[in-house]
Amino acid sequence: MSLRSWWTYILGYVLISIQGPFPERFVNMAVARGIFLWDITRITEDKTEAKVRIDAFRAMRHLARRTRCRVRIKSKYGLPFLIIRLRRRKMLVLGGVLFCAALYLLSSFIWFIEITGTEKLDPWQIQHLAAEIGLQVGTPKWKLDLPAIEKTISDHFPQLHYVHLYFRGTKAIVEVAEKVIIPEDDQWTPAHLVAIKDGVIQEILVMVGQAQVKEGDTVKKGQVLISGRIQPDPAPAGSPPGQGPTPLPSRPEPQLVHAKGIVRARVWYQGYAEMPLVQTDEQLTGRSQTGYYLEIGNYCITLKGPDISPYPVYRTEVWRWEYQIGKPKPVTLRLLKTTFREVVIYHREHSPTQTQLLAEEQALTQIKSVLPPDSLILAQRSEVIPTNDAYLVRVKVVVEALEEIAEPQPIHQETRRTQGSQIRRKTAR
Amino acid sequence: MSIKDHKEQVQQTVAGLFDLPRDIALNLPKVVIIGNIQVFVENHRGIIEYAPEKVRISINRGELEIRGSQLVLRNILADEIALDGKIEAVTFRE
Repeated sequence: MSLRSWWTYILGYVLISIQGPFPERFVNMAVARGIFLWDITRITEDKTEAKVRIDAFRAMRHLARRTRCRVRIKSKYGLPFLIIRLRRRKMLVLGGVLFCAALYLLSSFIWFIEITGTEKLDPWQIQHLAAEIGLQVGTPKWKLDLPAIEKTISDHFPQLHYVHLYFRGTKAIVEVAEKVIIPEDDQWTPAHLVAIKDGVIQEILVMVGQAQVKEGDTVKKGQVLISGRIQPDPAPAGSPPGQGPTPLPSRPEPQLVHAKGIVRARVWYQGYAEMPLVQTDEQLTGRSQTGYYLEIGNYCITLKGPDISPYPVYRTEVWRWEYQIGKPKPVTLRLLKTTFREVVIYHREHSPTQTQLLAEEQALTQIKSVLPPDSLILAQRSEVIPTNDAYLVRVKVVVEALEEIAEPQPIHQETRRTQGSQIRRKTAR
Repeated sequence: MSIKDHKEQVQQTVAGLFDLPRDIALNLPKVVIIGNIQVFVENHRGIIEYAPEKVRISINRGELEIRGSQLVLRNILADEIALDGKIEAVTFRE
């Protein structure tokens, strides 16, 4: 709509019917007097319709008399007429005003709280704190001091680096960023490398420290593989005679270093599974029915659908919504949507070999769930355990894997500072 | 050659000389036709006849006849007329 038609709507206009033999004369005279007419349509030979603004309508009466036309108002449009109509229906206006007011009022409350950006911290903890300091569902927005809440949250959780609270409509969004805590640099603290599990050493590569085991050794969990305590050679290295100062004198006490190296070992894992020859399984038939139920206290009303399951064998899927009314003796209102799905039960019989394969697979899956990601399976062996039950197959699976088993373990001992810094310089190279 | 024709001749020459828009110089109507749905006439002298199939508009020296169906006078002001409908013919008559 153009600006002019808006203005016309605000001022109000009427649809008139002009009855007379020569409406052209009427139109020409109206135009000559500056009366704006539009949408002029000839209905019949002596009847024409046109639209005119209400402020110009009064002047037309005079014209009508002169051209011997009869002018009648057919219908009225525009804001002034709308206001007159609304005056007669005060409750409607009141309802509209109330609606707008309610919309405005309700939109100034917080109805949702969202916490984003948490990684390790439980968002619920932040929400709990926020609720304590006033930010909770149902709080009016104007009552909240955003910077103060942000500050309280960030002071309360030292692990938060950044807290930003803002509104999007009726939703309060707490955006946080957690500090990335860099693990303490233990690169230089004296440590041994110890085994994290039992195994047989396949290869050992020492970078810093002194090897305590050799290839082919069987180690126990917790055993020191590469020691961080270096025992100095009892005999000093032979120095070229008569040239410069003598090298560092050998120390009587051992040096302490942060042991480094790679220790790979063969490790065994054991898995066990049993599997009956005849397996009971079920399958959905695809038939289903959905029912809606309303539970008030202990009474259940079927809103729609079957009262009980229409199938003899079935699985159900339930969606529920609960609400409690009444403070002293709460009554639970529960709305349930239950989907009954028909299933058929069938038995599947496998040959003993097949069953064994299935059992092995299951045992292997069990092993793989505990296997570290970098380990390499070298061999696997399965063994059927004899049973008395002819319908049951029991299988034991042993997997041999190659993996790193070394883990640093700090040496708890006082070490002299000067010595430590010397070692640091040495190993940093 | 009448005096009136002579006057017009002079007017046209002057208009050509000074590069004036000729509708203004000669007091002629400006007719804009949009497809076959609207005729827009500027500088008219009023309506002579109006019917849904035929509209005659008075212009300087003659009249403009528009034939069509469902013709509606969308707008009518002192110097412009907008006519909507299904236009079939626009004819100038002396």
